[in-house]
Amino acid sequence: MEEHHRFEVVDRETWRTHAGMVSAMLGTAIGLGNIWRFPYLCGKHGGGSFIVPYVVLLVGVGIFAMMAEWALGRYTKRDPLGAFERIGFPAGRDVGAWGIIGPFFLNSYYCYVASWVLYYVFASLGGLYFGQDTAAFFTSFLGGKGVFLSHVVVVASIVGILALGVQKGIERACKIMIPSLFVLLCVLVVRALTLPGAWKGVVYYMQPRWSETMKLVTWFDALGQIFFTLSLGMGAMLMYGSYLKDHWGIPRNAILCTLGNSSCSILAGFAIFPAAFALGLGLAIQGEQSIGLTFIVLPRLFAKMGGGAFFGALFFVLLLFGAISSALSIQEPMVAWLVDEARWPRGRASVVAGILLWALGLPYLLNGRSSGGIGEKLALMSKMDAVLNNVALPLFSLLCVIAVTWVLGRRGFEEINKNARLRLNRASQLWLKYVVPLFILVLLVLLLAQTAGMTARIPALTDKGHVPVDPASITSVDAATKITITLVLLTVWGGCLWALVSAVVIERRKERGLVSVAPEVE
Amino acid sequence: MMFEALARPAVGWAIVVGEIVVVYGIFLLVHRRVGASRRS
Repeated sequence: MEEHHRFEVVDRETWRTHAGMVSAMLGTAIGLGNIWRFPYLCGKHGGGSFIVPYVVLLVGVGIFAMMAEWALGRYTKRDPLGAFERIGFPAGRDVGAWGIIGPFFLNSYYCYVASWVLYYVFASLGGLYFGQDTAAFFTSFLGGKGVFLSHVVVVASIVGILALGVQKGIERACKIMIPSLFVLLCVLVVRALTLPGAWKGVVYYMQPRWSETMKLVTWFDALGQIFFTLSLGMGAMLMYGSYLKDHWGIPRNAILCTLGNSSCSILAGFAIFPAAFALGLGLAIQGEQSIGLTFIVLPRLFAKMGGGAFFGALFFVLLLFGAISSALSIQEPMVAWLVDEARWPRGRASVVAGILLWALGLPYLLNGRSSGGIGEKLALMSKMDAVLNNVALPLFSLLCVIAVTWVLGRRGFEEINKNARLRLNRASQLWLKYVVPLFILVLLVLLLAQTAGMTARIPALTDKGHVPVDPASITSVDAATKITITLVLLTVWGGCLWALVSAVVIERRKERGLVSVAPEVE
Repeated sequence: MMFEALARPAVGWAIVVGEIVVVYGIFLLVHRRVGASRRS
């Protein structure tokens, strides 16, 4: 035990390989938000003019907040409750408990949504929604029996993977699911881009409208998307951080995972918009996000596409991989608490947590049987989503940053820089300590105001005046769009490739003892 | 009839808030008991 640890550090499982760790971390981050929310926001705010605030806030806030969560996890090597309790955080037990209960509630409806995705894999293969009103098909599905069965299968698969453990369960599953997800996404992008007229979708998606960058709502949407897509404040990153090996450098790997996650988001837009514009759904797709986009507009698109049954099934399989890999990480804090604190065997902990998860999902399933439209059938879920996404998650993320920078202080920064060749210098440490919490606080206040309906009166924070782009008005690929595409490829994908290659090379060299862990940057 | 009630805003908020408070409370109690039994 190191002398500055004032608590017992348990000997626990870690990720087996660096590639496995990266897959698991990407699995946590890549989920439904990448496929159904990022492309919508990017198209709405004018491609490049949204990517600028997105990248600025990703680099300035997202990566730092992720480093803090990983560091807190690795320093304490505990579940969120144990972590907050052991570092002496004020009311640490009550705060840390929320890092387990919050994600558990989130997972209760996340698995419900994952069960729709599972059903739609088979619905696509069987062409069940082809030639039908897709909105009516989805509404009747929510009130049917198929969703109950899908929900049981999704929860059971999560229980099965978690029961196998960190290395044999989560790591192995993510090492299969995440690379497959990228391959499937690339297949869909190629299919979409080769459709006649697909270029109009690319122009809509990437063409910058710089007036959007000046709007506060664009920055607000970008920050909210970053927190949601990186799974910050869910206890998941803290939990997975506790399985990090001590010789892995946190800063470089955090950059790799955040850029990898963003690459996936951007790729998803290249699969969705070109196909929608090519098949005459360019206008319909602009007003839709999340559920409407995925379960109503995209099925219409697959029904019109040649080989739509195959490509539809492919799309929902990749969405399922993203959903399951995220659900695993959101469920892990509860399982880890039962293992760490209650000293239960992992198998029993996974089964009991799984039964509770299934039971918490039942109210949403029953709500689906009420009469009325989609709004009525998902009323309960949208309320829980508002409480968790708009309040609980940013708040917990803020507390994690405070825990590392203010409560642990110097020890927290040492943990981030431990054995890292790319390190946080003094200026970055001050940024993480003072500026990052401020950004999260602003996001939290704005989200609270939005939940209370107060932002509707502030024009800068509303979508008022937003006019959809008429596909007929897109006549050519302008220079600004070409430059944006090139810059996106260079910054996000190029950055991701640099981080991937350098992280893999350095970690392998460290494992072979070929390089010391002396810093590259001071 | 029961399903219709779930879609009403007041019932929905009561279920969401009630569920969170009850589960969070039970969890803290269990944690306290687990900690006490480990210490003894």
